[in-house]
Amino acid sequence: MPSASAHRPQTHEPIVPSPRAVSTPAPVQRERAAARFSDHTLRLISLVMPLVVLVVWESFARLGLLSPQVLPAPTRVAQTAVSLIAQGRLLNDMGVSLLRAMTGFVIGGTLGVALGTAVGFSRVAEAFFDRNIQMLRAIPFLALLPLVIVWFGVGEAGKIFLVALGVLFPIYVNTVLGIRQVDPKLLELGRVMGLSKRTLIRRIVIPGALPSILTGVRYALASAWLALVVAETIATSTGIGFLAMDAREFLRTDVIVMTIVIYAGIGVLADAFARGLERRLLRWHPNYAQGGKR
Amino acid sequence: MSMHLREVSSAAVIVRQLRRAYGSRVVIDGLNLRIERGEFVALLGESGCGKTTLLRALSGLDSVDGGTIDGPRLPAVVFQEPRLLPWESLARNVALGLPDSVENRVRALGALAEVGLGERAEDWPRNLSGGQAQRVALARALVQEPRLLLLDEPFAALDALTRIKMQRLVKQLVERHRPGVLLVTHDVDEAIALADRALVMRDGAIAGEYVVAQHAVTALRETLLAELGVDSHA
Repeated sequence: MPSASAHRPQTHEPIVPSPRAVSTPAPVQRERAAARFSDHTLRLISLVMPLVVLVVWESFARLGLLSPQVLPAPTRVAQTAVSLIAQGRLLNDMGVSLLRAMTGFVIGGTLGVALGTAVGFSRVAEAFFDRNIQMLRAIPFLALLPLVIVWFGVGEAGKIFLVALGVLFPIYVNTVLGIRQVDPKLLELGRVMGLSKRTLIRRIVIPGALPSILTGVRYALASAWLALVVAETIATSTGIGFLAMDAREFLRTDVIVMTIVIYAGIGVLADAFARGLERRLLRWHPNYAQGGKR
Repeated sequence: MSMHLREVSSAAVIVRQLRRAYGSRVVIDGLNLRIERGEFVALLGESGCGKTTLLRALSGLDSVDGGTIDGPRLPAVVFQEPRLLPWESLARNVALGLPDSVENRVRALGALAEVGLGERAEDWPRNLSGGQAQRVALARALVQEPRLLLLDEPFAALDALTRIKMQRLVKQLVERHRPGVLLVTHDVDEAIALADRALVMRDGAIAGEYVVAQHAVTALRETLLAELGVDSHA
């Protein structure tokens, strides 16, 4: 507030009030220009700051202020990644992790959309399934981990199961919600046009529910990722999580940090993928539209 | 509703002794109606007189409690709102009621051209004005070559100039395709401008019938307004 009052005397007030003077855009423009300039600066700062952190981190490590056991230098982490790729280990483990995530995602996602469509569309299906699914949903799925290890051991099935479970619920809930929100006037149109139930679902129900389903997909991706990290870290013999646990045994902090960066990177890519999917599938939607025509 | 026209007939629809009640409230009672193919009938009536119920019964959306409707199982309907699928191109929207085929796509494009939107076939519905969207809905109805076309206040949401253009377009298209038309409207002038016959519905039945060509426009206008409870000397 003091700065605002300090500014006020500086603003130019026309001495002779005339319509022209009142509508003079000059002060407004100057303010806008200032705002635009500071926007640019702010954006620049926001882009530069992560680099600053990296540089500070690097210099602290080089100066010996940061023990490599605690946090190795970024360049060291990069070197580790390169050498692990050269040994053929890293890409292999990454491939294993991604395959788990994708398999679990496809299984959980398919089940989620199928169950969600059935329950959203039919009151009979709702009576049969919904309460059970809601009860299972109340379990934090990571709490099932010990049980999953007992059931599946440390093999692939347990991890895929956990990922599928993490994916199933967000997609199920959002599919049901999406279908309930489909415009009843369009459903009525479908009936008047004599569409078969199949065509009605394909051309009206699913597309109408799609914005909501895709929101579910974005939640599910985050959830799948979390499931994978936890499953891989606790019971595993391959994959990124195993790499991290193996490195812990030998106090290879550089490898651990690298795996964390990889998890983060893939998470960012997955989110970008989901957003790309939204832009492509919802290009008819005013909120996702880029430019007018297709 | 189980009876459909099987014999060759000039009628688009024949309704006999139709009755529809919601609980103890009788909405339609003993209604008779016959619309010929190529005939344009306007249905006027105050709100709550049963117009909408009749239209829903004719379009197969609601069941009836008594009487018969001899007519197509799926008449074409144009609603007050265009009801286009926002996620499909205009061409796909027009072809909604037709099986997927190259031939039907060509038909849909033809119907779009007929309503003056042939150039916009691949556009999204959200890029259309209200009048344009309603023209697409009209194309979607006419591409089915319906025996009976039901128009549920299709011009009510349009601005005055667009409404006049739409009315002319509808008249022209109906003359070309010659379905039987039932237009539900509140607008007496619209009824006179478009219809061959104007019906007034009251208390669940047809209370008045006027062949438009047999009356002077001004007199008919006053009569119809009086039928609808608008006193010209008030």
